[in-house]
Amino acid sequence: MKIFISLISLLIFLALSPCPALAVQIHGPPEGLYVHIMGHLLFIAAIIFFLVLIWRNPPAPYRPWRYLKLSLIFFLLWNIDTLIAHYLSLKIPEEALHTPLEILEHRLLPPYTAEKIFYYILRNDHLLCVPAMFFLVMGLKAFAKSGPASERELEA
Amino acid sequence: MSAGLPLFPVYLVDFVGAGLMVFLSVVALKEAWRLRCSHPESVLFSYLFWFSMAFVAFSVSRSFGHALRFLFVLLGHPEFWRAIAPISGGLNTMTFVTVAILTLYYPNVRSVIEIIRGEARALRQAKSELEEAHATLRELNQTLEERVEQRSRELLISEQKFRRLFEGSRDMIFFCDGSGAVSDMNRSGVELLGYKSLEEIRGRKLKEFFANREEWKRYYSNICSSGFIKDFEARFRRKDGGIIYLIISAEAIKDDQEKAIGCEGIAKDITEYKKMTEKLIYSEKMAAIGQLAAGIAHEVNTPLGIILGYTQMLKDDLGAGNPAVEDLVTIERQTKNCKKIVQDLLSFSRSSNASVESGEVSLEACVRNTVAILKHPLEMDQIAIHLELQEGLPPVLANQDRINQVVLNILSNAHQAIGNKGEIAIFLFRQGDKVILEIGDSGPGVPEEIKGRIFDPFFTTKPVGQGTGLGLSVSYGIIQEYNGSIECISPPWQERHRAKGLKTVFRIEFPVAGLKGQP
Repeated sequence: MKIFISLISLLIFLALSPCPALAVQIHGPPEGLYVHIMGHLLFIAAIIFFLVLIWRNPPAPYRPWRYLKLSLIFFLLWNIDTLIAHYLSLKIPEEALHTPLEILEHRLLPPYTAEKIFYYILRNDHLLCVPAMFFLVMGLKAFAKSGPASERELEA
Repeated sequence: MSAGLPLFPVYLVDFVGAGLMVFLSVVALKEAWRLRCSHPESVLFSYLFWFSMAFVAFSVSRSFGHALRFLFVLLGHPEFWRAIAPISGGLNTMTFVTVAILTLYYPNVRSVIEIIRGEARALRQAKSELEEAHATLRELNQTLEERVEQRSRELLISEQKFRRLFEGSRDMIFFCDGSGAVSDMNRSGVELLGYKSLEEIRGRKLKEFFANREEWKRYYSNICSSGFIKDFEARFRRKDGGIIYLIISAEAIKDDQEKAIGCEGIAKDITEYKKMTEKLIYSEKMAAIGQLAAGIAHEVNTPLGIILGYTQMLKDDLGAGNPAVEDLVTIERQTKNCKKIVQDLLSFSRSSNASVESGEVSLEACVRNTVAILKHPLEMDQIAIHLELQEGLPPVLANQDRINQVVLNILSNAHQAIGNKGEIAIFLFRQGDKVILEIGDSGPGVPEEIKGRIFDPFFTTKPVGQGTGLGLSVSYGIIQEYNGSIECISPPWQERHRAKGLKTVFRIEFPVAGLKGQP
């Protein structure tokens, strides 16, 4: 009851004390990248949480769970890969990438620094996410094959 | 310009990888859908389904993004790609976040589902137990009537069995409550105590029926200390005041806490047995005394005869007028008294019957003759005589003079017991093969402590010089001689005696003359 009265009092006070409205927040160009990176970080945290869960309460050591773990590990690596790639893309100057209309002429220009080399390698992130997806499919197939045994899940 | 690392391999990996991702995510979605459909209760499969769904969205958006990028660049409109790229990136970000949220939320859902499942299991268990109970109840309900009927039948049989035993027993069976009051008693018990119905007894304390307070105390003490009592001999007082001898076996009734809440017992009437035993003992005693008396009487009788003979001879020799004759007369009188006593002793011991003839005697005549003799002195002392003599009774085998003597002795005793003002009643009747003569008086009664000695020779309650104490002894001897029996009842318990205010009754039984086994 006291909280309710306090809130009402605050609202009345604010209503009687006019000031410039700042309700609409502006979302500038770097925000999209930051949100994307934060999304990756959240994904990494979720995968680590799931892996810890499996590590602490290991389900029966049968094939589906093994595939699922492999899938999660590859997804984790892929996230780290893309996170670093995003970071490096900010470090590499736009001039370092030569992107004419002819797609076969696209180049990463010298001088070659470690950042450029890593960026070049890490751009091949599909080498990690495709295996991750592959192991997920294998895991699901294995779950389907194991039948009722797959119902044994993680202890909450 | 050929310097620099070509980006085409990167694009190629990107392009092929995007295609594979689309393909694999669709396959994953299909597998996850199948799993979800086959196991709708599985939280894991539900999670994997949504996980796959998010990755399909991710792969498709990314692949289309990459494909469009190449398309627009090849067509020479890279600005279009720059316009679409944020949408593609935004979709990708959304899919990460979705997958992350799904992954983080999955264990919580699982724990909630586990709790719900636990409750569902408990509910199922409860339901199963309820169904079992219901089935049992239904079965019980179906067979209840039959079972109740069977149990009732068994109970009825058992009840009838014990009821028959209870009601049919010739012995007294009684139940008392915690206060010692009679709560139930069988018919035999009620009749034994002289009552007509149980209601007269119910609620009365058991100790009220004990004739002797000490016996009650011993009975009660044994029941309290041992919890039971066995073959306890006690005297009970009937409603009419008569005493009966009972042998009791009883047991305390206890509750769950071993606290006595009453007692139950069986009492056997041993009055007849007791009387028979007493009679036997008494007759043995009287036989022994008789033998002794007969021996002494025989030995004394001869010298007394000689003394009497010589005294009479001397008296004749001296002739009248001699002063010594008076002394001789005194000696003769006293000697005759002694001879009378000796004769009585011989009568008591039945040793002098050789000279007495027996024949059929009418007891009614004996009674009437004797009463006629005593009528005057009795009337002088205001003593009324009531005769209830049954007519036409069969005779008994005896000597009339001796029977007269018996009646005279008992009537004299009654007279002396009453003193002045009172009642004497004489009853004569037949009972089976016996003729019964009862002579009662309204005197003070015979005290319990001397009841066993009244037939002893020389036993008397009169002052010295007023009686020899041989009257009843002689009567006893005479009655025994003719196969009869005599009994003293004091106080009498029969209504006909009590109605006349009698305190002592002598009951004499003679066998009817002419029956087998008589002398």
